[in-house]
Amino acid sequence: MIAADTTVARLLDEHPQLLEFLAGYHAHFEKLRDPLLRRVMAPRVTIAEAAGIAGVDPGDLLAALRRAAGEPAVPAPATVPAPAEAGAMPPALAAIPESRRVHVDVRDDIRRGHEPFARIMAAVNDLDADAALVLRAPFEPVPLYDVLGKRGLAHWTERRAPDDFTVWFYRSAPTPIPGATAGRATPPVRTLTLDVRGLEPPLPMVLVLERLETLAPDEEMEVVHERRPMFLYPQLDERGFAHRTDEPEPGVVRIVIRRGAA
Amino acid sequence: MIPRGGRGPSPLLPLSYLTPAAAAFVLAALGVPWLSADLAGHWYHPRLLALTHTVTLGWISLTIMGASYQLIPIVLQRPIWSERIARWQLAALVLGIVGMVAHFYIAQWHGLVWGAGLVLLGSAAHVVNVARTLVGLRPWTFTARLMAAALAGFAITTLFGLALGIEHVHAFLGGDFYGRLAAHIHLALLGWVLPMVVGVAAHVYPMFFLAPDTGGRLRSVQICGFGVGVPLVVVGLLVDGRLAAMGALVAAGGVTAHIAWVVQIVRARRRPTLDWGLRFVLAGTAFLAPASALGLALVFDWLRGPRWALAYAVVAIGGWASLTIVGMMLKIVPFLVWYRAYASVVGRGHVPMLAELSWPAAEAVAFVGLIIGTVMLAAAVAIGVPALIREAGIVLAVGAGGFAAGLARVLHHLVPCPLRHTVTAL
Repeated sequence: MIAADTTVARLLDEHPQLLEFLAGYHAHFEKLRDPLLRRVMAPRVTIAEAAGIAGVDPGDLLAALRRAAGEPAVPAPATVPAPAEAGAMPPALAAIPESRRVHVDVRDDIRRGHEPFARIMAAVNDLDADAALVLRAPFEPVPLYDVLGKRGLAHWTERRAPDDFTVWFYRSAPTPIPGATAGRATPPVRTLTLDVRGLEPPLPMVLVLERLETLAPDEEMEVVHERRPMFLYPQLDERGFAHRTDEPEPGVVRIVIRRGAA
Repeated sequence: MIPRGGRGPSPLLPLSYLTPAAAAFVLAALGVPWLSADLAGHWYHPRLLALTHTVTLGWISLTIMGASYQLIPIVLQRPIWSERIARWQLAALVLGIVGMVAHFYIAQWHGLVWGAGLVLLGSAAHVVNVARTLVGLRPWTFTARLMAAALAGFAITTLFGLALGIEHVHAFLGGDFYGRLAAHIHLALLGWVLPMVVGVAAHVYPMFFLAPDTGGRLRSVQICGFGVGVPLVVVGLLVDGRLAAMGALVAAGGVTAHIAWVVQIVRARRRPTLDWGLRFVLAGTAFLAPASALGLALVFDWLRGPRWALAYAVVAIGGWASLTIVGMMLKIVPFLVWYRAYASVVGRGHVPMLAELSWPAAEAVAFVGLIIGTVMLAAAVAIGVPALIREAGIVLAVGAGGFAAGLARVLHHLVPCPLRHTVTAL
């Protein structure tokens, strides 16, 4: 069943015929015809996020995709990302001098079919508290807003051209972790779910490890897999993640991962 | 809760098997034009036995063992019992195989027995290692059952082979000489290679093709076909041709079920395009049909003589087994190399995609060269024309060269190289 949180990659894996449908639905989606761009972006962007990037109504897009795939219509998703609205630059961001702005341009990476996420996250990891990340991309990187928001980064987006966006990520104010107490581990209060079934190795491992880099101390990740990921466990151990595995039903393996010792 | 994964599988262990195996394959391909005159005659020739064992032991068996050490943790979801034994086993096997091939080539039987003894030692270590890994496994899946059957087949094959080697020095075996050789060959092919390849395929093909696994009834047919048919073939070749014919029919039923299952997987796949590794796998499966037909024709005496027997061996070993293994290797090796070189960097810096490690042009050369070369060689040995065999061998060698170049391109990612800016940020 196609849902708002279905990734575009999964959608096209299960319904390859929808590629042409999407390309004809909105000019933004014509980029999906390019196999390199498709490989880079499709696994990361959900249908709701894709609608946000294109500036179309997610409910309409979802309904149209379901009709095209021959699936029954269901109510539109409750929450969807809003398209970018460039207002005046926030004062906190305007106060950051040029010398404290880290520029990362991923337009060429994406054009060449290289995965930009790791490069962006490396820059975020090195970002000082008083600095801003200035990201240049050929589309609005809506999925990043949520990912970096969890790291305490606000964003401000400028649309320079239909295929040229600049997004500033910055720390607007200190963001304390709710309930955090000095010297005591905080139990996870939020669970992120990542379904990697149907993906060819090593893509599940790549997706899990990339998402774990942004895992907040008060979060845990639930990975839904088809088999026990024997090559992932040593990587989790090396990076200091605790994990436990169970099989809620035959053929479904669930790995719950959080920061800290087991 | 299931216990956590335990220690991680070492990517270097399987690679240490797969690299010499690939070298043996290239050596064997180069040996075909070199031995074209011998290949036009009877297959029981010392230099052809050297060539055969380069393929069966050096290429196929080393690959299966190496792949086992990568796939067992995935397929059986548990670590290998002892990686240290696996490393010692490799040393014994490589030394033994080199000794066997060299002594076959110069027809020195005493040296051959020593080489075979080392191979037996390495094989016993493999059997013990995998058997200990299988102990306590629940549930006994289709793959686990076939792996266990293959291990038993492998143990008997190596013991039988050592006995045949000793027979050259001290005759002690009774019965028909060529019947014993045929039983040994079929024990290796149907008792070791077939169940291992089919068992592993059952687990990895749905993963490679991104297809749901729907092989319930076909799996039962395969288990029955191989479990009943293969022992009948081997025993029949030793004692009674009618028994062998009956067993061949039953085994062919299992093979047919395997082909039907692969067709199901291909039809149900979600992967829109096939890479060269998967094309090799499918080409290998396609060779199962003519191999089975030739085997049945020989066992029912519709075809006779050493040339047809050699053509059958080329189609079965060079076509089905080798092409399937090449395909699996083109899937396995890039993953192992990627894991070794880049897994620790994922999420922290830029890492290449798996497909970026491969060299599709070289793999395409390998695909065309190996398939055309195998078909040409089977036809050439069947009619026994040395010039045609030499030309087929050259085509095969070009294909093997493409395969080696593709693998080398993947393996070079293991070597630190300051000029390769694949890791851009740490």
